[in-house]
Amino acid sequence: MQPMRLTAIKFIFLLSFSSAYANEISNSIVLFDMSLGYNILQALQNNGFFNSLHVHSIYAPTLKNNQAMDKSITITSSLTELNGKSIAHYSLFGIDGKNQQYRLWWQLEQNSSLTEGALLRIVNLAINSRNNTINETLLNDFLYENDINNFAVRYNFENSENAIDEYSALVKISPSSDHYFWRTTIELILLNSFGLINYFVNKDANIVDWEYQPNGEGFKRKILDGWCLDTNNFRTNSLYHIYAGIIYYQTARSNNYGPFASFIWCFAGSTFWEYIGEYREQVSTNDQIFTPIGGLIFGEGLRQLGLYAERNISLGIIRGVICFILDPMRFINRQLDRWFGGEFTFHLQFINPAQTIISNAIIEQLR
Amino acid sequence: MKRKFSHIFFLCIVTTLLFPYFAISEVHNEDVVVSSILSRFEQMLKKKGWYTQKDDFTCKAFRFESDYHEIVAQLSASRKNTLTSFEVTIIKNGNLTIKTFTFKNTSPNYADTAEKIITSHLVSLALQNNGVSPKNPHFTSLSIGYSRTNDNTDILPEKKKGGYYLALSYTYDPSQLTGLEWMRLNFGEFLTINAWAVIDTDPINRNYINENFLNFDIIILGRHCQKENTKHRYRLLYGFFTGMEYFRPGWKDNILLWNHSLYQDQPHIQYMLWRAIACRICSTYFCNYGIYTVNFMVGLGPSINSSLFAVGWDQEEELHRSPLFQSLTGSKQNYYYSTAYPISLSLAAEYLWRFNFTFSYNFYFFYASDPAIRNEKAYDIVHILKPSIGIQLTEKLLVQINWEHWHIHSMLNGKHTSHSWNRFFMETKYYF
Repeated sequence: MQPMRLTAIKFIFLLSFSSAYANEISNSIVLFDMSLGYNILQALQNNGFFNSLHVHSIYAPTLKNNQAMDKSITITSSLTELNGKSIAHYSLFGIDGKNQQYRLWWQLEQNSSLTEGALLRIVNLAINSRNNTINETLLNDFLYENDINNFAVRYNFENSENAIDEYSALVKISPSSDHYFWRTTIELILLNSFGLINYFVNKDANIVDWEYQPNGEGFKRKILDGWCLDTNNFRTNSLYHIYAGIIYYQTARSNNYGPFASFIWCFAGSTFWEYIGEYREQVSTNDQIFTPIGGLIFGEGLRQLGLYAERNISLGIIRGVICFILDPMRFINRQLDRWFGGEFTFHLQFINPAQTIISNAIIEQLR
Repeated sequence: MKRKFSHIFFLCIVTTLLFPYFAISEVHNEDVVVSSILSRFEQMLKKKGWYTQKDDFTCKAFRFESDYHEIVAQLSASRKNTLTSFEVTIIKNGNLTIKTFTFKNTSPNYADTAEKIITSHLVSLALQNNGVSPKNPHFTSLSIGYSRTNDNTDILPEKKKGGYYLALSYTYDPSQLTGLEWMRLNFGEFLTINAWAVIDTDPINRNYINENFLNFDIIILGRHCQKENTKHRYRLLYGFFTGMEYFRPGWKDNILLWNHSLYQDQPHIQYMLWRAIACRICSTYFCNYGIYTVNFMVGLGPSINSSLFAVGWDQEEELHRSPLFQSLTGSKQNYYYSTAYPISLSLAAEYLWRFNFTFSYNFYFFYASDPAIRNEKAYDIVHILKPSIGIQLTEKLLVQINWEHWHIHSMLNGKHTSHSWNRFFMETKYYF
């Protein structure tokens, strides 16, 4: 009995080990670079990119390993030449919660800055579909995101019935919210720095308002003295400060913040100027009111007018000049967005079991 | 035999009773699918920031974000034996698309499949960038003309006695395009900008009377209501607004010294106010006999403004002015911090046999509120009356003559003074 009991324990142990392994595989992302010399997925794995998705990733040296992983997400990459350009082609094979097999594929230029952003969006879509159908996930979650600009469906008509062959969507990859936060902060500091240069160029006009020494004691007194109504001229108070507010507001607005958040940023920009920029002067109550409020009211109005001009004027240079005058920070930040972001199109195809065999065979051959 | 007949009879009864149930449930099933598709589509658009309105077979959606986009989706279903066809009609920004989908209603997943495919189709059309709506929510006009400010009753324009007049008027009002009976308006979903400036034709001899005015109003929270029939339409918009208004008689710094002859020759007021909160009602009635509009706004907020008591000083007096005018050193510009209570009312009758008549009245009460000068008991009251008459040359071109009467009443330390002047201007207004 003893040897039999040992064998049984060993069997149970192996079974549990293998099921744990299978479970690990089923919740993993299997990565496979098909083109020799282009190991982008391996490089991303080594950089810890897939760890950020909170799923285990396995770099598969051969396809045979993949075939056993029926519940896993498999991502493949390959490199092709198209019109003299090296194009990276990515495919994601997955199975949704209702056992529907599907393939998501997209193409990017080799070494595109969108590689990680695109992978992140697509892998998240695949992970979320594990508890639902891929259709539902696409329609319910993915398309609610505001960065989908175009969504197309290809239909077929088989056995006198409509069916979907393929979905495709144009996805805009925008910089992250952290990126926008830091960009807004840096831009506001830069704007205040330009203001400071102007302030010291016109030092003679401003020196009359200086009350504090530029040291710790002076700053402490400034804090304790609080705010007061200033005696600057009408134009400074009613035009220059409001213009500064407009620029602060439009800076935040063009960095994807809403009206209220932009108003807060505008107030922060004004506070920074009053405490740090004009560090030798007492903080002005009227400036602290008119700068953010003026920024909100005029800034939002001019932004609206700028968008109106952008959509209704066809001439390139004239439109550019008008838009720059009305909303200069939007003009600048849209250019920056183009540098730090971009667009890509992904396709979703449904795979039936017969197709799976064919596609696996194709992959095997390609390998 | 008798028992067999009773069985057949029983079966017949059951079948007969169940037939209407199946018949009804089949018809009902399509309606359920249609309703379910439209509900899902509506939810999706809502999450993407669209305003929606749905009934049994139609979903209407609007998005305003700095523009106006409209989708109308209509669904109808018809059953023919084992096949059910759904006709999907979508009008997005004026572009019509019709597509028919057919499904086998005997299939166990028929409803799910239909829902999935038709929703995908609706979503794909909704997310396609197919241009800007032909309905324009931006109402812009540009005016050029001639303006003359007089310190007496002489209102007629004379050669070299006035200035060129330029004006811009802009309204962003997408809710009126929706045709909805009512809807809530959020921040920025209605805004108006008015700006005008005068460029002096003889600046040196006339001390640069370059009046300039700017007013921005933006809705914080409001409501749009509309009632319509074949003969007339009534539209009401009301809510809380915030805005800023600015007026100055010149834009050159050096003429703002209060001993400048501009202020001695033509006493003016200058102000910049923030309507922190304002209640505004815009009511418009459209009928065959013209368009009638009533606009009313009342608000309050902090402001900066001048006073007639700071006019006509010589250099010596400048140094001994009231503490109300604080800027003793440096700028020499005499204004005080105040709380403003602006009220405005305008009545307009447009397209009355090509004629437009408008009348507006603006009232401002500026009360000194800087704690340092509260004892000075200062205030300024401004009344501006403005009747206008215009003729609509074409649908986009209006020629108008306007007359403005300004009256200012200033008080400082129990002393009163007042002054009036007129402004006459002719303008040609082009509506874009």
